[in-house]
Amino acid sequence: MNSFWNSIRWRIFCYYTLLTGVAIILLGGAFYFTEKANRERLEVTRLQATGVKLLPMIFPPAGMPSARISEPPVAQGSARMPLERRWAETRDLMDRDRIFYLAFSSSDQLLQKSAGAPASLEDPGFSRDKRQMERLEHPDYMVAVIIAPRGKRIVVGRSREVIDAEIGHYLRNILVLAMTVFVITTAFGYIIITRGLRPIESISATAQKIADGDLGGRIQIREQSSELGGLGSVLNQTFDRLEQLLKQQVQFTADASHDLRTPIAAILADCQFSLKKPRTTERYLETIEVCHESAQHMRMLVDQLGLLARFDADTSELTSETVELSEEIKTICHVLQPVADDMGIYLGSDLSEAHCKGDRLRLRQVWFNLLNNALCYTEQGGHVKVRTGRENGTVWLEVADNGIGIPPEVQPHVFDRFYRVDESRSVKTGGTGLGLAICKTIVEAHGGNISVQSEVGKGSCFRVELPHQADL
Amino acid sequence: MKVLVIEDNDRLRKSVLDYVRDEGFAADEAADGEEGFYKATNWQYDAIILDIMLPRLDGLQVLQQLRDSGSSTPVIILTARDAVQDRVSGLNSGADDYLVKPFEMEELVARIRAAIRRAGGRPKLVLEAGPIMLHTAQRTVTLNERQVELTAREYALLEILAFRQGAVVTRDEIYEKLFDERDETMSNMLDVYIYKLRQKFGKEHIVTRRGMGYQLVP
Repeated sequence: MNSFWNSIRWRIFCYYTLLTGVAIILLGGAFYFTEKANRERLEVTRLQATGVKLLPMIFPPAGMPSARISEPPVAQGSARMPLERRWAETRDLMDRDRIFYLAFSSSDQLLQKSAGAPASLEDPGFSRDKRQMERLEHPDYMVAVIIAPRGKRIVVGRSREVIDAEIGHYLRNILVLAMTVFVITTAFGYIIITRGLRPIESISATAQKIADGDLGGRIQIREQSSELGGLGSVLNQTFDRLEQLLKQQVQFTADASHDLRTPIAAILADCQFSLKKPRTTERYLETIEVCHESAQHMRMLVDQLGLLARFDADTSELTSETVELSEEIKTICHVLQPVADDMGIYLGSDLSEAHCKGDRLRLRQVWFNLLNNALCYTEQGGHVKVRTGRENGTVWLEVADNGIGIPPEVQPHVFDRFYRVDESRSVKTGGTGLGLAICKTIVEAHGGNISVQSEVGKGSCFRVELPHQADL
Repeated sequence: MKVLVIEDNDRLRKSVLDYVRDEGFAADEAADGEEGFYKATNWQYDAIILDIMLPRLDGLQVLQQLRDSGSSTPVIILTARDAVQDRVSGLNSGADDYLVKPFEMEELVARIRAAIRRAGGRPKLVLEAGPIMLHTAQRTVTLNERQVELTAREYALLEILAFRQGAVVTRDEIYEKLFDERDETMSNMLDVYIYKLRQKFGKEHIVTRRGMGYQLVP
């Protein structure tokens, strides 16, 4: 029962049925009562008309013989024919409709009455002192009185039973009609509600499928501009995003597992070699070195994965302090200078003051990654230049090298996680394929953006832009 | 038996090489797909161990080109992805077997041997040459049902001869299969191994065909 009421379809349907029912009952009632009142008025008018028609027949004007309905006037030549015919017609009509009449003289004496006239109306007091055409109140009969000249009167009536039977017949018709209308509107209502709710059912079915793990399903949208169409397209966009995020997540996990498998394989292979039989001390040392290097690589990978995962979940752990870029770069260049010297690369800088707000240590990681990358991908004798500056409310930093460069088709991917332009190079440099992804994540968490321009053989230039922090 | 190891991770490649050499294989190495393909098409190998994720030319491309060039050398794929799709595409490209990293070296070696046996159309585990019996799975040899101790190299040489028993195997062929690019292929090294085998099995079984090569006579 509860689930029945929880169903929107049934709830709407019940309200709809209830409203339709009430409307039909009210309408039917109004029809019935109007019709009943009309009928009674019509009935009285008919009785009066009948009375008026009877009047000249029962109380003929002077010079004309009076007539009795039971004994129709004797035909006296062609001139009398219309009266006789009218008598016959009137009598037929009255018999058919069961209308009776009583005729009283001015001295309240019953002169005539029809066969169906009830005895209870023979009391002349009932119709005495009434006005012309007045309707008389009687519980069993509907009665009208017609006053003839010289105080004579005719009382015309009809049994209420007959009238009520006619009205009852009408009521039955109304009821049948109302029921038919009710059934039809209810059926249509059900169909309309079902049709109206179909998009919701489709949305619900699609959402259920997605909840069950099939991310490929999308809601079929028939009318883009309708309310449900809008909801459907918003949900579809949400599903798209969800699917993409999940795919990224799956890819990320697969990549992470892939990158952990190779060092593990190296450790296993070398340990199994060394443990198989006695080896020389040098060989054992080599095995330890393999383990050490692989473990370090894995540590770096795990650290970076952890960092990215934390950033994915929440960026609120970033501290916010004023960072002066040129000072930061000077510090990092100082650290990297010996490395550059070893590699035979000229490391230069062109720095101007640039303040921004952010997490000093995280940003330092960005600068370090960019410079380190530039050094790794530049040949001996090349140069790496770092510049900082300020323009239009942003501060920028550029790291440019004249190294091997990045082919245009892979440039859009360099910030992807685990993307490596050249697998063999990164193996040599010990890269994890996460450095630039981390840079991008950190820079974007600071409301900035990072981009690259590069030409194969000529070098690359990475540019970071961050919102400018006004001098304090 | 000579294998080629194509793997871009220096550490892993070196460890695998050490291990398979220790098992008596001659082994060459390649650090990327191009080098691997070059070596695989220019020298004779009994099996190739091929990593999928390789710089320059990825493993599946190497495999495809190798098969297109008509080579039927058994190839064992090493993959870091264990998705069914990766394995299926590897096997569909013509690989004979695959291993998911990280793997047990023992398993790798067993699979190399199995692949070589299948490729040679010799599913027999025991090679018989008169009183000499080679148990290729255990890599042991018996002479008149007594076990003979052999070094890995000696065993490998005997196996080469036993596979083609009765036929003459040229010195060049033996060199090709027995020694890898690391060895100084001094001509007298082979003579040393032949001498040792003769000492253990008798002159009548290992015959020198002067100017042509050697022959294992049952």
